[in-house]
Amino acid sequence: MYLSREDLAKYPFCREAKEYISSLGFTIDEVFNPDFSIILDRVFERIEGAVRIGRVETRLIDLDLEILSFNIAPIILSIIGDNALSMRYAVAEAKRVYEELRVDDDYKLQLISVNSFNWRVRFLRPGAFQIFFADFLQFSPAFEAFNWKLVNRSVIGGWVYVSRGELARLISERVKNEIFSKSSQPMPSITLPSNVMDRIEGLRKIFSSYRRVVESEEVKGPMIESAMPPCIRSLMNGLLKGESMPHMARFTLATFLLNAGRSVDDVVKLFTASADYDEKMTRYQVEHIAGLRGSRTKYSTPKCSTLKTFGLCFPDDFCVLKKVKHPMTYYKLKVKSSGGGVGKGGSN
Amino acid sequence: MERGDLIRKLFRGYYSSASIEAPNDIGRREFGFIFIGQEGMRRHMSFKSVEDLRSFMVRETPLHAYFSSAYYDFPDVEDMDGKVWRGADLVFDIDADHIPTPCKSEHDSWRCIDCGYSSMGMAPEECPKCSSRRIEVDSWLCDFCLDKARDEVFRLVEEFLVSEFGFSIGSMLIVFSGHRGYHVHVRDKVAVELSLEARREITDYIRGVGLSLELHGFPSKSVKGVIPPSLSDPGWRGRLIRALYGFISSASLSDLTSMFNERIAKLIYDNKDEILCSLESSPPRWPSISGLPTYVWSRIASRVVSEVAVHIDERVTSDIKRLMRLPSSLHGKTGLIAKSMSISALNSFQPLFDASAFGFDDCKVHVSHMPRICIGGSFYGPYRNVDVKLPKTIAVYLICRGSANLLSW
Repeated sequence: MYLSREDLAKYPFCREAKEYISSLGFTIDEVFNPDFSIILDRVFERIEGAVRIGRVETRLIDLDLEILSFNIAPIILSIIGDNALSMRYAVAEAKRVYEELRVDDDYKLQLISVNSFNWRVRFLRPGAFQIFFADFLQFSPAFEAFNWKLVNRSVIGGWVYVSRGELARLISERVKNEIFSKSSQPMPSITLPSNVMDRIEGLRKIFSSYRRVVESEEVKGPMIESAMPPCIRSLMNGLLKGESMPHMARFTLATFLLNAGRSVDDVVKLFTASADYDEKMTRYQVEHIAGLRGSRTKYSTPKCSTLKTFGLCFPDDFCVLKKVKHPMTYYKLKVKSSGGGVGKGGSN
Repeated sequence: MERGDLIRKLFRGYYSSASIEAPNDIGRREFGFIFIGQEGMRRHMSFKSVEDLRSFMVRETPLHAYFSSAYYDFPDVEDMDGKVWRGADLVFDIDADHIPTPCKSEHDSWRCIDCGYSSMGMAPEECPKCSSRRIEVDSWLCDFCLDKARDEVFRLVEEFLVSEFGFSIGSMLIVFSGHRGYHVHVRDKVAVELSLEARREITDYIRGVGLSLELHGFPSKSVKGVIPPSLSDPGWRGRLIRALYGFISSASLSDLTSMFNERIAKLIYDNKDEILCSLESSPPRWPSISGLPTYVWSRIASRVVSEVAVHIDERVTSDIKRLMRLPSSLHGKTGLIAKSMSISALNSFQPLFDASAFGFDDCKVHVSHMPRICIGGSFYGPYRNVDVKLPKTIAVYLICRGSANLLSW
């Protein structure tokens, strides 16, 4: 059993496809050579498809073109350097891969998992596989649905049962991550031919018009106490009563308040009520969370499933009704429904 | 002699002749220590060899010694990001404090720091009077509690880690914490490379968090006609149905009326044999007893989940930079050795005797307060403000926890 060249065109991320490209001796400079403009055409077509309709079509006419264009697209994206665009493209390609794999032969899914990703995957019977739990857990935590939680799976001797559709989903998630990480790698600055620059400009324009205004997690304006989710309210009450709180509880509360628009000073002041308050330490930690120190990462509030793990989740009817998966979503939905006028940018 | 000086002298005596167990890859581990009479922890330390570590222990005599489950390129760099994380053992903490045992009402007590309300038994999450979470716990060594913790270790290792996750016994180290529980360190390559998210999923798996009964074959209002689990099924499916089976076969009528109305409780109680029989049949089927709604099976299963899950501390397992107690070091609250062993030695392990650092000759102490406890097969106490002769290991335990003063050694 092996992958045909047509398979490589459908799944150009697999090891065999990359080996095939190396055997062609194709170099990066040649991408911009006018003789090969047909490749660049297909690259832009892929990305435009992703931007316009969120899809990339599989085309099995010129197989080499498919294999090359898929692997060159991330280079173009990294030149553009827009993470939102790269993500949109990665998602669209992943969707394409998922839809192909879902209906493809079982042996191909197994070959790709094993040879390209080094996953331990066993074929069980038509449409059914087992995947080693550590490989399963590389991507399953990203999926919110209950049936992706390990506790709801059959796990025996380290092996987790998955259907073909589920294995296809794991593979496509892996592809999405790979495309995105390649597309967000900084590129050595190269001088691009002006026609390529024009096309990139064109793509940028299309994207900005299609781009849904991606809401930042941060909400500006005064904080509306009544919109706080039950988990945060409980932490807040605990804090105000001067209870000593475990690290995860403090972290959750601090990230939430910072993302809901409170200042570092406000948050530090709030923590003075804490049982074991130490101003210097608290300030250091809150500034760290706010991204003013250390790695300069601004931390997000943990999602509901994480809070559940730590026993900090106390869902109310609104959580259940709206199927809330993140405390910040709860807050934003509540603010919106209360007509608080504290949307993006605050009141005018 | 002042208490701190006494403990330092005792501990130094132990360390100067004890053989210190270094964790594997000692040079890539971070160490942290707590010292008598000093606030906070001295951490971000590293040692090149076990000899360095041992001479440090003898010279500085810490009250508590810890090492990181993580492996770092630069374990002694203070900035956590600067350490460069390269993996971490998969660690579990099973503590009797988190396992309900009936004897707790005889030896443990708790007190609300805010309103002063206090009571015997397992500490609640929050004070029932003023709902404060600032609760002070006074817990004691107890054979029965430690046996329960040991049972949980066996279930964690044999049922979950070996049968379900496929880890080998040889990759695991069991450590008696020196107080009221056990730690399990898994040092298999697969375990070491697990991400934070993966560890959270494993934590939830073992604690039964996020469990969907529907997905394991239990009927619900929306899903009917699912294939019921069989008693021999592996994983959570089998565990749930076996727990359900066990509950029904031993349930008294009053157990059932505490969960259901009288009519339903009686229906289950009177049809026990038929229910058990249909769960045993091959293929299994959900019992169909007229008048009995199908949700009862899920209701019972969700009640027994906590009995068949393992009470691990979720913060420990899902932390990839955790500091764990150093095997062979003394626990500063008990003076007992954090003793490492293989799982096969756990069965015959006797915490008090096998982890004793000071032997069992008698010495004389003044005990301010101690409830009646059973440890090492003998009962001690209750004592209140009396001078008593006690085996040295018990006496040091009381001195360490601040319940006794030494009169003569």
